[in-house]
Amino acid sequence: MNNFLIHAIKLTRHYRVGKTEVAALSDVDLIVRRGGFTALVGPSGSGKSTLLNLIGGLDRPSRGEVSVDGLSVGAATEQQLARYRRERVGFIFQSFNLIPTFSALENVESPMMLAEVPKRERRVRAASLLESVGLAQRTQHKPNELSGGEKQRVAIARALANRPLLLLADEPTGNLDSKTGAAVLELLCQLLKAQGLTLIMVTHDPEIAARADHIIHLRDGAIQKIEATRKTEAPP
Amino acid sequence: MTLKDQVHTAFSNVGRRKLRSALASLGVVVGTLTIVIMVSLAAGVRQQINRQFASIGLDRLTVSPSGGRRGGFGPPGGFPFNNLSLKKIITGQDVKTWKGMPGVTTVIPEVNLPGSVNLELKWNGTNQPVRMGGDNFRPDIFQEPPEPLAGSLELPDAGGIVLSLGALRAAGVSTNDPARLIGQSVEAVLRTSRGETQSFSLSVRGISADRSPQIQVSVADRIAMKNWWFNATNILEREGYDSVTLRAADVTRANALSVQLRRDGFQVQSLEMFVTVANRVVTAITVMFTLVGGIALLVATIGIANTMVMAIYERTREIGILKAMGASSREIRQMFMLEAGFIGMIGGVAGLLIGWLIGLGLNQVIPLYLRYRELPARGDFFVVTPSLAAGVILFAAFIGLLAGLLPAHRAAKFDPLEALRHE
Repeated sequence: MNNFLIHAIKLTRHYRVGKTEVAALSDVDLIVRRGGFTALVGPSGSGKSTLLNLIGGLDRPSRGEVSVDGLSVGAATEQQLARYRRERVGFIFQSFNLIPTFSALENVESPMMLAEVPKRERRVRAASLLESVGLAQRTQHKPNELSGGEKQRVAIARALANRPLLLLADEPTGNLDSKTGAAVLELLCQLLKAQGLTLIMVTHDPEIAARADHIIHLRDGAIQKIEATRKTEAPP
Repeated sequence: MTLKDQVHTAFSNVGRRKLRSALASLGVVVGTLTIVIMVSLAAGVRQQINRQFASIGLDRLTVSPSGGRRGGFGPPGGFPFNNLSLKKIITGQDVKTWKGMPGVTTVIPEVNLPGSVNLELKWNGTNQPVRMGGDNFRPDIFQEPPEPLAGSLELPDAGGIVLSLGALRAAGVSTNDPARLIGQSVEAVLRTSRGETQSFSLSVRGISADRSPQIQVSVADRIAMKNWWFNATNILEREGYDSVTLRAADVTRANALSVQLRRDGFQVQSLEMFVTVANRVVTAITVMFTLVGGIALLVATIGIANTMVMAIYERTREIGILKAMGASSREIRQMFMLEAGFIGMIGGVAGLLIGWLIGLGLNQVIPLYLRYRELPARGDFFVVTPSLAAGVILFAAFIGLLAGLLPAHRAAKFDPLEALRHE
């Protein structure tokens, strides 16, 4: 089995702003192995989120290609991309993006509903996922009845619902105070270890990035350097 | 996403915004209401027409001899001896043949007395003029079939008589207890203008409720009377029957029979043509009013489309979230189409219920008015058939789907990233 989960070759994404073309990402070559935690850091406008969205199949490259677990995002059909997002990717957003009219349980259930998991089964799994993120008591609450940290926990449970290979998090602690943010990060790291997932996280926070196995520094749409943290600097 | 989940999601989304969904479906309610009332009225009127005609019998044909017998000069009923002008008479043999034909249930030959005959009823020594009544098989379209006051209205082959209430009154007989008159012997007297008379002794079989003075006797007795009147012995052989009422096993058979008998040279009258024309008129009116309802429904699509555009605008972010979680464009489109379809269907159900209730109310009120105006009509005027109910709900749902087509297509085409950025 191929040990590389993500393989990007000359990945480029242009945006058209008025008459000028802005390169959000240009000619990025990247390999990410299965498992582990990769942080994407860099100033705003450096292309972190663009790279994340391309990997997640929410966006398509202007040029070049990125393939994830054998699926070429640029070449895939709409249906293939939807299926890829449904079955292999879990998104965690800065602004949580829970469906406001659904309860916590229903929010966690919704990806499984899209994946046509039978009602009884998905209800049981959603409840156990909420329990694993410490929200066993909050299943019937609507998002507006939950605190920021609780919302992000629901979002994490939802991202894990269809047992993805890859978790993509775009500043998941950005809207949380530092204490809550630390707790959410702790939860993510635990889940990562327990389930052998691959996590790619966009962050501004160097402390959070320091928890990652690799840190990819982006600047002006290009990779400046890739820093290996724990693998080389083994703790004493 | 399974269809069941899609239906459930769409339904709960509609239910979440009850007032807005209700307002959006108002146009559908009005359109459906119009269609239900108009079509149920048409169905009711059609039933009325068919029932009225059926009471006479669509399975019935009246066969007459052909030729220039009626009209022209001469006494009503025609000259008895100008056989040459009769191209085709109905003979006893014809009647026998028809009786043996498959699909023919009843054959009733008729002989009419000439209109110039003076007929009197002799009772207790007094003579009162009466009319020879027609047979009982052609009652008035808008009346109930005749009921006997006493005895039976069916005549034996010969020697029996049915008297009307009017005839009894004219003869000065007490009508308090008509049953006691059954079996009594009376005389029907024929009187020529020169004063010659011939009386026929008959036994009372029954009393009819008719208020005009009339009597009814069997065909054989009428032939005897006619023979005397024309001083002949073989009037039937020469002139044939005046008419024959045929009853077929069903309407199709009746139609086939009428074609065959016309080809044989007889005149055939049936009611089928009247019914066809009446139903055609009703259909035309129904189509017109249904079109009005249909236009109301088309206008209703604007309301639903507007609601869907608003809903999609408000839920742009939700669409983005669903897409990020792996919902395909097709699923998003179906979800919103279903919502629009539900709004239409709810409007259809409401319109059907209201229209049905209005019809039920009018069904109660109209007979009161008709009774007040003394118009004879029975039965319901508004009839909601199951096919109308099902059809109208399906059509309303279709109208909803139609209205949802464009907004849902727009929602499906949203770029997930842009939708997620939407506030």
